[in-house]
Amino acid sequence: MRLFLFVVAFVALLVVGPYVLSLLFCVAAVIAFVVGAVEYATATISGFTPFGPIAHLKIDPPQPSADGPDPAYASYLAGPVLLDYQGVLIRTFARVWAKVVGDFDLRKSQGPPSLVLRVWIWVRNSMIWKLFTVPAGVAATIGLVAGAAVALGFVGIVSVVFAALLVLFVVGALLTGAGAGLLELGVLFVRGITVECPTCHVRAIRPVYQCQNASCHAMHRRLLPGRSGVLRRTCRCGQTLPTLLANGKTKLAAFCAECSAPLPIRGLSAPTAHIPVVAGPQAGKSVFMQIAVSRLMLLGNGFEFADSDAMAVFETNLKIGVTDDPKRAIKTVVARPRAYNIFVGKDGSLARRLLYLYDPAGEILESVDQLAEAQFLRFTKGVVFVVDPFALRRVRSSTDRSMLGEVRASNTAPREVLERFRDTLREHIPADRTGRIHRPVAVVITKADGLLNVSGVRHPYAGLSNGDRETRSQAVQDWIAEMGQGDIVSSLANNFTRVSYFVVSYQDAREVTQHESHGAAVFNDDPAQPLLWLLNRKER
Amino acid sequence: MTTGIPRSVATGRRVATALLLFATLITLFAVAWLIALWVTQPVAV
Repeated sequence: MRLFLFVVAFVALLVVGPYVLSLLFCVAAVIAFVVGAVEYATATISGFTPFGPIAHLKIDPPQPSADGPDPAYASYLAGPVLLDYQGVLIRTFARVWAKVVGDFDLRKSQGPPSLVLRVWIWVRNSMIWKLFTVPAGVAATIGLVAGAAVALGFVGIVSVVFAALLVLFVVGALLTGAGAGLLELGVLFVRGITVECPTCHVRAIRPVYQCQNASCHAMHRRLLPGRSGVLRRTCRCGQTLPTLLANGKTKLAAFCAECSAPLPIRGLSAPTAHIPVVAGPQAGKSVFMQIAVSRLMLLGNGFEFADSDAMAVFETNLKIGVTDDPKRAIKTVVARPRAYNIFVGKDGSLARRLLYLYDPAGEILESVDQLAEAQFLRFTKGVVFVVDPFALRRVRSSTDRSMLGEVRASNTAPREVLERFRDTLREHIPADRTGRIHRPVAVVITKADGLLNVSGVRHPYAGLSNGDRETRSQAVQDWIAEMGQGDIVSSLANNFTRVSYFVVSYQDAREVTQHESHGAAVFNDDPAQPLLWLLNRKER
Repeated sequence: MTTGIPRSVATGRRVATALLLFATLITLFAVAWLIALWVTQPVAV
């Protein structure tokens, strides 16, 4: 009987055995594969937890320094992501091995036994004939190991595809950033937008931007698309900063890389126009600037102060009443002239300009050496040449001393100032073949209020109905010639391609009104008009 | 920032998870496609 059973079992083993063992192999392989897949998924979820630990990534930003790298976090996808994924792979391989194969020595292993170990524990403890259980154990073991190997192989292939996608993503992001940066440079170049330091007068090619977080204020010297971020970067304080002008970088406080002076607010958002206001001492430059800015502000059209110093000076002059009485104007300090920055023109329009108005002290314009240091002259787009009518010989001789004291007449002849300025400007801006400088000049006769009632001297616009710009300009030229200074008009015409003449008074600071001169009505020019005329000129 | 971790890292990890999921789907699709090619290849008679 026993022999009969043995023969039956042997035959069954030979006939059915291969199929059963194959089935066992496949089931074991599938189980091991599923275990591998689950471990990979859980390792991925824990490894890429958004707010998980970051100490191992080593992405701490550098400390702020005078000339070191910017204090910003490196972009996660540009390198640190591989450290996280390395952790995912290590965890996956270790756990799959531990769960499927594990340690064969039960005495050494910790935690639950592995799948292979469980199979052999069953083989050892089973009451079924060893002839059946041992081959089954071997088939299951091979199946488990094969399944685990296939799972890990699958993880390897997914890793390769992931790396390829990551490279594509990073390259795409860098190309996007580089493309956006180039496009931005292109737009700036086409529109002729630059920004110059109002203090040291160098062109700020790479401004230094300050973090807008009030408790941080770290300086970023290379706030551009790159390894720290394509469209935005994260400062060491956690504040995100835009890297492109179109993204809001113009709104950040910017500083000159050479002298650390603040640059105009929202610089690089509009083309600049540098306009020196030229005249000798006490000719009325500062009062002219105050009334011109006052009128520009009242006209609106996108007017905006572009630096806090300019606004402070304007408000101070307003408080001390310069527009009511020019004698209250504070004498301009003899120092390197700092630009007075204002925006004119509707925001967002092509006509918008960032004005740099230079009000150098008259003493600078009397000295050739000091003028030569005026580096801002190479950016000149137009010139305001202020003429004190009470510095002209015939007007001076017709005016009594008390009146000359009242208007604080300048003692410097306008012709001398013009010649010195012209010579210095030629060193910075070459003349054309005709010997003329291609920059427009607005000649402004100030203190027109003083001319209203001088006996023997008429107001430049006396007897003139409003008239167009050409007519009014010609009227002033004729008046200057009549006052014995036709050489100024000739000199200007011979040295500059475009010249226009204006007459202004502090009395028109709020509104241009009618005045009376020797019983006749006269209208001065709007104090803002010389600047607006200069801005509307096309440069040739 | 939540617990001192920059938002850029959190966003980057979410992007990486999405890329990994996409890579897994691509691989599964490729494997299924290869198996289908192998199964349907003509048998030499």
